[in-house]
Amino acid sequence: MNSFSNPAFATKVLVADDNAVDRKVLSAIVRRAGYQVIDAVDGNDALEKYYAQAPDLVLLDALMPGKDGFAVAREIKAGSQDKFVPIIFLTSLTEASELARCVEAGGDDFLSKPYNRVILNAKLSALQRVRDMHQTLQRQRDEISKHHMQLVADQEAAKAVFDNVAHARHLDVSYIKHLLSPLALFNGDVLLAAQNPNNNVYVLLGDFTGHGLAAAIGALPLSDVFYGMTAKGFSLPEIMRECNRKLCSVLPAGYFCCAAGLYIDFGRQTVEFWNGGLPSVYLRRKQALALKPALLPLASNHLPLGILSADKFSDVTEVVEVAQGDRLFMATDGVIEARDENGSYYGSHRLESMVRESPIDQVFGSVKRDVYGFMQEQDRDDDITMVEIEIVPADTIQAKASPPVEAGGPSDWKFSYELGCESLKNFNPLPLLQQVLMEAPYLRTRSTEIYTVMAELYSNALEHGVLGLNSSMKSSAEGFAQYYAARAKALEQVDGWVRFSFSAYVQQTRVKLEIRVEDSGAGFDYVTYLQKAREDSAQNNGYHGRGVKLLWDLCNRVDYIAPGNAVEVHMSWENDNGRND
Amino acid sequence: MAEMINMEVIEELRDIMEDDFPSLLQSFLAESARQYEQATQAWQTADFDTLRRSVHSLKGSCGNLGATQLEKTCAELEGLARYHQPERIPELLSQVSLQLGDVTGVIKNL
Amino acid sequence: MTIDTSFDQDAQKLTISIRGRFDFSAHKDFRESYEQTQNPANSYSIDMSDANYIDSSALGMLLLLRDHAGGDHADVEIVNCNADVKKILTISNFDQLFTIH
Repeated sequence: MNSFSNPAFATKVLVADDNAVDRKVLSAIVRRAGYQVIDAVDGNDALEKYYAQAPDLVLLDALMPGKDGFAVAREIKAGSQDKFVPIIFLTSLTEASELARCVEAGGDDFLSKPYNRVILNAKLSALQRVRDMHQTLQRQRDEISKHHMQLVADQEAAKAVFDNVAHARHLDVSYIKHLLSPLALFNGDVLLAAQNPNNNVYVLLGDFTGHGLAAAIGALPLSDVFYGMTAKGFSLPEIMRECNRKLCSVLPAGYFCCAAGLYIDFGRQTVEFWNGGLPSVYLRRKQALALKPALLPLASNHLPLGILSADKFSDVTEVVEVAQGDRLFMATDGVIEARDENGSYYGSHRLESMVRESPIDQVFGSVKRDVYGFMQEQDRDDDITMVEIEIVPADTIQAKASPPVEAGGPSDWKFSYELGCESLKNFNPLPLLQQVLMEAPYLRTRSTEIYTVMAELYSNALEHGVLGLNSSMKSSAEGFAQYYAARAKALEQVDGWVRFSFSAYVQQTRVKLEIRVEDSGAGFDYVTYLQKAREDSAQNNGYHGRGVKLLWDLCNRVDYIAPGNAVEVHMSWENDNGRND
Repeated sequence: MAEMINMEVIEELRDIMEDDFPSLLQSFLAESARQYEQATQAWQTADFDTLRRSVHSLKGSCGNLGATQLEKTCAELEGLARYHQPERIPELLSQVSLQLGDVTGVIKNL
Repeated sequence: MTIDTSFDQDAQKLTISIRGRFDFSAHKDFRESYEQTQNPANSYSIDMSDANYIDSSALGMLLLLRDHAGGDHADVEIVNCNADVKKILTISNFDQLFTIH
């Protein structure tokens, strides 16, 4: 007996048999079992009644004149799509091939003649159970589908927000090649690049734990911090520190971001890096030398961002020297963990070989082709995020478009700013000073040059003046690393000060800015130094990334003041909208 | 005569069909006569397929009615028709005719 | 993936053994293994002898355990790592937070 006692909800069964006796007996049995019976006398009648009354179960005689049971079954099954309508073939056929035909036509079971009540009831119950299960599955599937669609919509909205705020702002330059799939964000991959007022470039590659929204959501505050600080010219350690602080406050426990940050100074030809948890960043040299192998891995030596509290976080960066034509290659672990059809991993050894051995101008392309070739058709879109930065001559870096000049601001003013030992140790004054200077709108058109000049003056005052370091150390390969180690050490015990003085005014159409930087050092033989520089400059008229030659390029006047621990520069230009060199 | 129909089956049918029992018997009588007619005509035109189908149907009804012996005869005749073996067909057709007559008689007396 | 625990009463040390893939699916079981308060532990040992795979969500779970065990004062060691597991822990510099054997 079935469980429907209310006839209104009784399961409807269609009985189709051209033999009146058989049909009547069967209908009676089925009715007795509690079902509502619709009977049909042949194939066409069966189909008509099926479409008109939508039975839940069908009992179908295999051999009927006209349209036989097989044809009816096929048509019913073809049209039933989502709804599961079980079909039981009525047959006194006994040969396996004929029974097989029933199944092939869509039959779910057989019932042999003469009809046995007990067997029929058992079969009807069993099929009823299957029907119920099918309906449950469908309901669950529909629910899941609905939730899934909601999730997808949420993710698309999140992605749109992210795209508006942060997406790939500075990646469209000739010296950066990158691969970042549209879905990268939801695999936790973030690639950020920016220029600072010095026209130097920062690149930050991040890989958040997890997937979906949890991974994507950390990218927003991270990019906020990144773009805000790079625009103001903060240093890489400062930026990594603030990124860590931000992510600690935003991410739930157990979530973190493996990241690597690079600061590329094209003028000085140095790369400063911080790597916490990402696979090694590779420096591929255009020209390998004795102590400078073709491939230098810049390995992870920090914990990922978002784990350590501020007092435990290490912002220590390392600096390497680079040359024009060298390449920096970064990728998240999606490359190393890419799998082929056998399930084998691409691996870091293979990646290293590709980076080391490909022709220097085809590193990115070769790696990309090799990884895709390895993966064939597996999950192509998902996880491959990689970027290559080429070391190009500094003068090819295009400055950011300058904002249109506004009227207003203080038209004549001065201020002084002095840093004592503790500040020299821990604080980078450049962003703050730049901020103050940019309060005067007429200075904004030269923001890059001003920042560059300040940075050069400060770096000399601090390193050569206060710390007493000798820059000739930097010229050898080991000397380079030693220099930065010595710098870090000397800074720990610094005793001295650096003072900035600024004076700016606008006179009719002319803008004048005077910057003076003094330090507590003993000074140096600037006379000889300047003479050498002049001779050098006369022979070689290129772009000068450093030293007094840089100052000569950017300033109208450069004065060293005895005993050499103070420098005063004058910059002056027409007050206009664009650059007017 | 009684062994032409299995009375247990009849009793069960009476139970299942309730008020429709007489109508069922009527249907059998009408249908079986027609099916036999069809079978003989098919044989006269050597239409083995139609012969087979008619006999197959008749066999089915007999099964449901409990007319076991007639059912067996139909089964045998069905086999011959299926494999196109004409020699014994006339003989079996007569048997069907005879047995059908007996069954009809039993039914009319229910 | 299964997780077994054993508690050393004398040393008040809870050992959690991971068998199989240590990934996101282990989240609930792993957490339950140390959150139950019948045996409050002073130190923890994560036995990776039978763990054949570890990913970043597992690293996150280790961080959560470390938090639960006292953060900077936690005493958590990760032992019997195979080469792959060790590699992942090394690249992430987790040896700065955990004692790794």
